[in-house]
Amino acid sequence: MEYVSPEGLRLDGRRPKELRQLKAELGVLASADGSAMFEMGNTKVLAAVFGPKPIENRSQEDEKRCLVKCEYAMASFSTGERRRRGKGDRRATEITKAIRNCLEQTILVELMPRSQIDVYVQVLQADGGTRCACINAAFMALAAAAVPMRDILASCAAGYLESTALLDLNYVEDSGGGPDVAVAIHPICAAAFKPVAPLLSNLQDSGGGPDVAVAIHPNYQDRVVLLQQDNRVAIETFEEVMQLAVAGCRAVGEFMRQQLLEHTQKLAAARAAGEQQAAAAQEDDDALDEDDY
Amino acid sequence: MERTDGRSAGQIRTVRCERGLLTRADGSAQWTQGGTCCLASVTGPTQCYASSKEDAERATVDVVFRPRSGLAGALERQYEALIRRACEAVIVAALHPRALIQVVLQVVSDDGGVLACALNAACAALLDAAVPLRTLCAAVSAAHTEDEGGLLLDPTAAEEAAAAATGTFAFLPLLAGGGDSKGDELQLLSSQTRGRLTTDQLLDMIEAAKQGADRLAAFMQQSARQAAPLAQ
Amino acid sequence: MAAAAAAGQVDADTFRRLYPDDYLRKFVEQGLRPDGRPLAAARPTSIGLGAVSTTDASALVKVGSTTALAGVKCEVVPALPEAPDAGRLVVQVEMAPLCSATTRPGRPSEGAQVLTEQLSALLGSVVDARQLCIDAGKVAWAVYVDIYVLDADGSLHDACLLAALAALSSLRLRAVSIDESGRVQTGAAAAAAQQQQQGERPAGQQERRLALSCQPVSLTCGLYRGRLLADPTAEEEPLLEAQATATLDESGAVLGFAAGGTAAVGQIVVVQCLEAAKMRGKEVRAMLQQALEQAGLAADADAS
Repeated sequence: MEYVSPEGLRLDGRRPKELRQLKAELGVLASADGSAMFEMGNTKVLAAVFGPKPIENRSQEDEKRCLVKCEYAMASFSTGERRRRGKGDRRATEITKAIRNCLEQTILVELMPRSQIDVYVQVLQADGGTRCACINAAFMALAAAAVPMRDILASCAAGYLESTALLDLNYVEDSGGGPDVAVAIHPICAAAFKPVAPLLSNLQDSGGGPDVAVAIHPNYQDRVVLLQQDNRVAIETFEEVMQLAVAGCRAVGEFMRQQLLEHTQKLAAARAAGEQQAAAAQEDDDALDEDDY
Repeated sequence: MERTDGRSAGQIRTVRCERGLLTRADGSAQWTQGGTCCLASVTGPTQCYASSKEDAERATVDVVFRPRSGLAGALERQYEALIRRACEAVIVAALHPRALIQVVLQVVSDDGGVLACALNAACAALLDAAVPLRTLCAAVSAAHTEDEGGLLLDPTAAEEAAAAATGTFAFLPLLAGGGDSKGDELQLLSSQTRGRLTTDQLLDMIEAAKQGADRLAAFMQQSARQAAPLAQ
Repeated sequence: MAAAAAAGQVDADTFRRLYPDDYLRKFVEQGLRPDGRPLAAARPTSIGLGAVSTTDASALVKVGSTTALAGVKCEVVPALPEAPDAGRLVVQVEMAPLCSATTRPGRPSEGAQVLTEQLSALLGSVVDARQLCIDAGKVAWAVYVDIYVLDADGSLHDACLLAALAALSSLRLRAVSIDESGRVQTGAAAAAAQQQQQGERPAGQQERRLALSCQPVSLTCGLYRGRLLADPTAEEEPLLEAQATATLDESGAVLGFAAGGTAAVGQIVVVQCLEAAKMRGKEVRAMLQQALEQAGLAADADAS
């Protein structure tokens, strides 16, 4: 199959370094403390946050930090073939862990000791890049729930097919057998990004097998929160793909920042309107109060 | 119209109720209605095994429904939910805060109307365990067949399969000597139907089931008196 | 003045949390609900068709904030020996862990299983499985209807049934062709194969709609202090004395009447529930018709 046409266009008409269309909607579920729908092209993910709340299982209580619980699930109709509901789905367990890992590094867990935050992510429609879309959706839902966080958490994948680095792979490209690097970063902290050198040794150590996944704990110099890679890739190429993925993350991060700003402005406007209404309804309230006591 | 087993349309199969069959449970009853038979055991009020189930103001009622063979599936869960709500309605749960009352139902044989039979068994077992009850409850199943006037009470499995619609209804029946029952009010506690009925057919079915439930409850009350003559 | 207003605000909210029953009672006595509805009114409802492009048909239904997403996927499967001339309709309701603060991941909850059981029985009588047969004794369609509850805010049966009905109403079974070697093709490839095979025995079928024997719509009503509340929310549900879900089709026939609660209800209540469900059915079916028309499926919808 030809993934990149001679004119430099991909199967879905994108340029190699183009993201799919991003869409985000906050506060879509009324019963959650925070929720978000995040779409990257045809990949649609719904995330909901419950908490921070008192810890449910006392044995898991930590007096220094809050517990982040995470659950990832795919709707049985989200993929081309219908998925059977399988127990012990290893892929789901792995993605759940990757998402939780990213969130634990982003949430200011030490501000909420002895508490718990539940994050549920549900994939409604899958077309490649579900891992990244899930991380983005979970971040947006946490932001909607006003959970304190150190930075924006943005995630994006990039791959390498037919000697071209491709950003934000869809399902067909993802199954093309080329390398696929999923990255999540804290874009503001990572404005000066130069983390590649210390990674290479890790990659070489793993012998370039088909599943190389590296996750880096963030420290002050590099804020890469997640780095996972499938399939074999040359070191020179890796750097190019990685840089592209990080650029993608920045773009996604900027998009999310805009969305959050807009959402906050909307909330502020609604609140101002609400206060005006409350003032107008003051008299009715007084009447009700008398009724109460 | 006569049915294959010689009953009339509004007649319930021969009912038998044996109590105290199980020695380890706090109460038990085996309720037989023709070829359908359910064994119920009641444990409690006892301590809640999980604090998440504990209710600070009333006893928690837990119902387990075991099919005659095989594993419990979605249908059994539906039965459990329905029986649990009916039990919650008759048990004076506020007397035992934080406690657990567990009802286990085992289908012994199934020849139609197993849900109604299980509910009656549960109620008889609660009586046997001397759990404080507000009143009794009794359930009857009914089937509607296509031929004229085809309303059959307590259908067998064959009659259920041939019916256009079936339903199971539980009532708080009118008890002899009962204090606060409201005359001829319907007192429908739970209902579940399958198949297609007109509104009138449904109402007729409920009404007929009510008549049957009153008779069953009278029998349940009588069998309770016989088992505990001192209570009189 | 502003401070007093703020204090009043907090008090109402605290009152609601501490004394939910008194809170609801104060509203109901005034003939209103906490969300401003009259007692007999259902919440605003919306139907969105084709929400998920990986399905053969899908529908997103919102009733107030209760949200259900139904997706239908069709597969060609070998026919079962016990029913050689019929296909299969498999209905599954799942409560996604994100639907409420109390739903836990893992084993399907009792609520989800009860809904699965109720809806499978109901939809099984609406869809004649014999029309799902492709080649008797050999292959048939398996139609999987997966309903995800995304936001559980009461009266789930109504929203799930409507989502399933809307998805099934907009479903088109793909064209199927079977060649001599028994290879099964679906979709555009099958249509092309059929063109070629003209004159020979037409193995397979054209693209077609699913025929539904009727359009069932349900309404849940709750009994609270002797009054009937239509379409209760998750906040109201635990306070109700009894709850009844009546499912009726367009001719007014009852397809299901499920009632339960801690108090018994009289005949008048049963009649009122059925009456309210009938009214609601008219309203909802008009909405569904409109949604189908918008999706360009109206002409067929009339025919079926």
